Amino acid sequence: MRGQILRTLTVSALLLVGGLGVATAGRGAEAGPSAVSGHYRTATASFLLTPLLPTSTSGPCYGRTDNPHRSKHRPGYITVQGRTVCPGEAVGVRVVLLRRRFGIWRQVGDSSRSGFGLVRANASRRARCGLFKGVSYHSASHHLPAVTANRNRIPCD
Amino acid sequence: MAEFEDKPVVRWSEDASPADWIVDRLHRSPQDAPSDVGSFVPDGFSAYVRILHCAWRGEPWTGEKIRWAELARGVGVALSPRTRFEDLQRGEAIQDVEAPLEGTLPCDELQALVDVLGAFTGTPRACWFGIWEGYGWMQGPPAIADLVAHEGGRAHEVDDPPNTPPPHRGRAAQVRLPDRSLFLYEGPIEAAAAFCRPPTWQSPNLWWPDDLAWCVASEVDFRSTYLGGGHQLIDRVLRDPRLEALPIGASEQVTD
Repeated sequence: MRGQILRTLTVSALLLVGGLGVATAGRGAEAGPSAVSGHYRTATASFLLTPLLPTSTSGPCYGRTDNPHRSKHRPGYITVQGRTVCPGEAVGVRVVLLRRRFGIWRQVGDSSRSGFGLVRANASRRARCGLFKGVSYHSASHHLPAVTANRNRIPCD
Repeated sequence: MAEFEDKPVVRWSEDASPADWIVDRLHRSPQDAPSDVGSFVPDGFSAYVRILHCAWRGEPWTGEKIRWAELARGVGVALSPRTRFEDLQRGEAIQDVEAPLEGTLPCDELQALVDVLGAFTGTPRACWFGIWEGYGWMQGPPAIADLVAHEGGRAHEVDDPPNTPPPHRGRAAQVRLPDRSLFLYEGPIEAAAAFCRPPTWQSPNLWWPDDLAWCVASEVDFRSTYLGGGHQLIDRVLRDPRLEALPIGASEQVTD
C-alpha cells in the first residue's frame, strides 16, 4: 500500500514536472548550456581526450527527446522524436510537438508507440520555421515513468 | 585495434574548418522537396552507394535482423535506390518487425563498414566524425532522463561505463550544414564506433578521412547511410555480405 502511494505520488510529480516544462519553456527551459549536467560543464579543455565515462544516464533504461528539426524524410515538416530504451522490458513513449505562437505553446502534433526494449515515436507538423518543443512521456515495465523535453527555434531563412 | 575497441577515445575538436570542403561541395536543395544524395554526401566522388539499415524482428539490436530485400519480396516490391521503408510496411509479415534505426548504422554494420573503408584511405589514423547536436543525449537533462526501477523491479547492472561526455557546447566546433549542426571529433577510423554502445547506440552522422578519400553520411531522419568514394570502394561495399547496399547517383532524390 505504501509502495503504491509512493508510486502514485512519484507519477504525479513527474507529470507535474512535464507540465511545468511546457509552462516555463518561454523562459529558457530548453536543453542547452544552462541545463547541461555538471559532467558536461567541466569538460572544457580546448581539446578533449576523453575515455568513455558515465554522464547523462546512469543505467541502460532512459528516455530522451531529440531536437525538433526540419525533416528530410518528410520535406516541409518539422518533426521531433522521442524514444524509450529499456532492454528486456515492455516500453512505451508518447511524444507531443508544441509550437509557440503569440506567447502560447500549442500542441500541433503527437504520436505514441509501444514495443519491447526500444521504441521510438515521431510527432510532426507541416511548417517551415518557428519555435518548437517536443515533450516525451516514457514508460517501461518495472520502472517509474519519466518525462523529457527539448526545444529548438528553427529559423525561417 | 583491439586495444582501441576496449577503450574508445574521443577528441572533440574546437576547429570546424576540416569540414569546410563538405560545406562547399554539398548540393543546395529546397526545404519543401526531397533532397538529392549530393545534399548529404559531397559531390565529386566517382561513385555512391546507399547502405540500408536492417530492420529487426523482436527487440532492436538483439532481435533477428531483417533485410529490406526480404521484406520487399514479401510484398512484391522491387528494391530501388529510392525505396522508402514505408513502401515495405504492408501485409502481415511486417506486423512484428521493428523499423530500422534512423540516423545510425547498427553497430556491427558500422564495424563492417569500418573494416572496408580502412583499406581505402591513406590516413586511417586521422579521420573526422560529426554527430548531430540535436540528440537528447548530447544535450543532457531535460532532454534525457533515467528510468528508475521501482519497488520490486529488476535492477540493471551496468558492466561498462555507458556514455561519453558530449562536448562543451560553448567551445566545441560546430559544423553548420543546412538544417543540421554537427559536433566534430577526430580520431582513428575505429573511433567511428566510439558512441556505438549503450545507451547512445550511435554511429557518426558524417565522417571522412583526412585525405578525403570517401565520405559517409547517416542523415538524422534516414534509415539508410550514404557513402561516396571511388569505384573500387563502392564495388567492395556492394559485394560485402555484411551490408545490404544499392548503387545510387549523387543526383538521385532520396527521403529515407
